Amino acid sequence: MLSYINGFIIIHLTFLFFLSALGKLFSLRQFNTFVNEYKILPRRLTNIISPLIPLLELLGALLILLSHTVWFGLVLLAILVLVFITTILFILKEKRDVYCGCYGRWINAKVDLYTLFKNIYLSCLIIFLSLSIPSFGINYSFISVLTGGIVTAILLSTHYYWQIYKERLKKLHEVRS
Amino acid sequence: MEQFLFFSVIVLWGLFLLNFFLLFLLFRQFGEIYLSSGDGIAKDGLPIGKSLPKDDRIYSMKEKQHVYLQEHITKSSLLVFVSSNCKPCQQLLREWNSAYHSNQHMINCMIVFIGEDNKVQDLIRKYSPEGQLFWDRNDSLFHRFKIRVTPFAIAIDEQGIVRDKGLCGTKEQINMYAQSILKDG
Repeated sequence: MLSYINGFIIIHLTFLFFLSALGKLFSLRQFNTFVNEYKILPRRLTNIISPLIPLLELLGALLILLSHTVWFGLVLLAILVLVFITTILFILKEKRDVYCGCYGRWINAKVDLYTLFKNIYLSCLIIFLSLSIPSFGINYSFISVLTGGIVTAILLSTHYYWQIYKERLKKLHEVRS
Repeated sequence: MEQFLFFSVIVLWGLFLLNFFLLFLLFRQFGEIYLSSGDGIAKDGLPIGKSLPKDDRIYSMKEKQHVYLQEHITKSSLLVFVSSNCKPCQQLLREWNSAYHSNQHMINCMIVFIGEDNKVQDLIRKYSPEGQLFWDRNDSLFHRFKIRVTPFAIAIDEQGIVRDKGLCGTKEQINMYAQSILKDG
């Protein structure tokens, strides 16, 4: 059974990183602006790195799908998630109000505690896979693929509703002030 | 079949968590719209015209023992609830002594601190507020007086009847409540 759970988690991660990469690639210029607003790296370096992020996400999502490249994929995704967590912590520490560009234009997500917890959740999944795959391997079935898709949709919808909630709250405070 | 049931449970848990999350957002939004508004806060506190409960005991920081609050209402009084963790309360404490000196001959100015012992002591050391100081050790008075936000003031006349109430973050607001009790009295 654990091999199917591994399969389900891989599909879940693949969907998530694939959609995240597509969202960024479809609005690459906007994503570049968002990354510049992070003010972590010099502008010139940011302009080189920001288009690489969705490409690396896409590569990681594809690599974990194949059994002989799954480890490369997991390492790549682990590095990406670690970079994301560090960036989020840096921005949260400075209490700056910036867009994360996590899904490009699809969800106007901001860097906040939700994005931090989402990335911690993703790192937990990656750690689980790296501990479980050597002992139990990976197996796919129709139902595990379907579950992976549904759970991804649930996670994306929570992020979407969270953003709607925050935008409404902001408008409410603007109206009151 | 076993696999189908297992993954169905995962999906159902996911949907359950989504519903729970949406309900959480809904209630938070409800709270922001209705409870944090000026109208909502105006409903806090003991109703205007109601007497102060007679059996309320509170720790007096001056007498270092529990006392009956009613016994300290010797004339018209302003009871201000201050929490150790709120920034507007610190702003009020900065202006407290000045407001106290301009009103002390007409009314009793009293502060009820809410929060942990060490934090309350820090506040007192930092601002040295004058007047009667009380400490609502287990927030019992805070809840009995139906208060949700601080700094909150309750203006009481010499018979112990609530005459005015509301948020109180500045010296001007303290003066306003003082004038309000004296006018009604």
